[in-house]
Amino acid sequence: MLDIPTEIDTAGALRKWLDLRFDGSGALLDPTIRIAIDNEITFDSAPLHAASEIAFMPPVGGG
Amino acid sequence: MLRVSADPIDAGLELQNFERRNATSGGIVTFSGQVRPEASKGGVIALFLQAYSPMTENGIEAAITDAKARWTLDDLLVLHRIGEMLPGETIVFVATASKHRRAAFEAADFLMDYLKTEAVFWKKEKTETGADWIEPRADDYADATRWVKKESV
Repeated sequence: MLDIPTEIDTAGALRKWLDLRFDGSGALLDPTIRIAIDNEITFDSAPLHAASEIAFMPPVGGG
Repeated sequence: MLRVSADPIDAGLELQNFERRNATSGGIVTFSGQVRPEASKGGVIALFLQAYSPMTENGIEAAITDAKARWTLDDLLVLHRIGEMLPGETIVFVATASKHRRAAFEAADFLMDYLKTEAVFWKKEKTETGADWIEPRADDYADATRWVKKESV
C-alpha cells in the first residue's frame, strides 16, 4: 500500500512519480511496461481512483 | 474449465477423467506442453512461471469463451502450471471434446496459440549460466496471427 499525492491523477503521472521516488532510473518509463489498474490494462492517460490496485507489467512471456 | 496452479499436472489422469466426463463426444483432442531440457544458453535446470491473478485467469477465460463461440464443443479444459518446474514436467494441458474431430483439433490449436503469446505469464529459465526472463519466439507470434487472418477472410 502506498499513498499517492492527489496531484498524481493519471497512470502516466504515477509512472513518472514512482520512477523518481524509488530511483528507477527510467525503468518504469519504458513504453513496453504496461500499466494495469484493478486488473485492466490501461493507457497513461487513464485517471486514477482511490484504493486501486495498480500493476506495472513488463512484456508477457507467454506460457 | 480452467485451472492455474502450482500443482503438478498428470496428463494421463486428466485425459482419462476428461474422456469419462465426455463419453458421448465423438472426438477428443489433448495437448501436453512439457518443459524443454534445452535453452538457447545451454541446459535448463528449472523453469519458473509467474502469473498475475486474476488478470491471467480472466484473459484465458476470455480465450475459452472465444473458442466456444467459434467451434461447437462439448467440453474444454485448460490446465496451466505456475511456479518452479523441472524439464520434462507438464507445464500446460489443453483438452477439447466435440462431436467431430476438426472442431476439437482447431479449438485446441487456437487455445495453445493464445496461451503461448498473449496469456499473462512471465517465464524465467534457469540454466548453468544464470537465470533469464524470456519472451515469446517470433514463430509463436506468427502462429497466433493465423486466427486473425481467418476472421477477415
